Amino acid sequence: MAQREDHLAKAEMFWRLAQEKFRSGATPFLCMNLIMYTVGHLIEAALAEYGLHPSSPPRGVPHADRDTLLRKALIGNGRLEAEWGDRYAELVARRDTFIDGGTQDRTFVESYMALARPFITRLQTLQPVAR
Amino acid sequence: MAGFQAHLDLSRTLHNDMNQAKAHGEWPIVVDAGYYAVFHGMEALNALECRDSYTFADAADILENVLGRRGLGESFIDDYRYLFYFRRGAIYGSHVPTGAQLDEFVKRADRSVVAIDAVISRQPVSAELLNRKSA
Repeated sequence: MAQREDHLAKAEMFWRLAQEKFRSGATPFLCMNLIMYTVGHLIEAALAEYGLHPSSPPRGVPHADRDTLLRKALIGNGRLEAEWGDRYAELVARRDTFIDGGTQDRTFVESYMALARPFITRLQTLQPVAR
Repeated sequence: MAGFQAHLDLSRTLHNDMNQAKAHGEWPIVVDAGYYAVFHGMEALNALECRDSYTFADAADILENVLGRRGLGESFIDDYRYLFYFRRGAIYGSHVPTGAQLDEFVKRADRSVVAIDAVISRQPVSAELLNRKSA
């Protein structure tokens, strides 16, 4: 099971790649994913401090449980403002990896980055829980 | 809900991205692009028979019960499971793949893309479907 330090290391790696690929105009689908993986690892780094690790449905991915735990453990105890719960939900909903809404283009990924960047900045300022 | 051509185009773009990322040592992109190249290739095949996966569980169910029998076969199913769980462990979890692990991943992704192309080449894809824009 990944711990806080694992998640922080991966968040740093994904964020560096996301910014590089965004600047270079890489495939928008990949940029979108790299942005979301940064958000996911930053949330899970904070959750790991409480021993909380989102579970996945069978053959699935952990987005829904991450949302539940984000609202319960990070917003519920006041470490994070309530608006970020809705921001996370919007980032998940707009990340269309099955391309139901069509293949992502540059305009989409620019709006996705604009939506995610303030949230990533806020998550990066979270301090470890005092023990 | 995307059409055949949209899934196929994205699959080919991502397969190319996987190979470029491999050359540049960017393992997270190798894994993400490689997995989704195969996933969208499968969705292109699904579009030929008016199917969509709404979840990854759908995709696995359709693969095991429909696409496997349509010509992808058991070895493809094994490769797909390998790619899916590799991605989940490396992207979402704590694993960082070694060079040898990444080589195996790329080998299986390449083999899967070739298998999908082979099945598509045997399908009577209509010009109407090829020219249709995704919804």
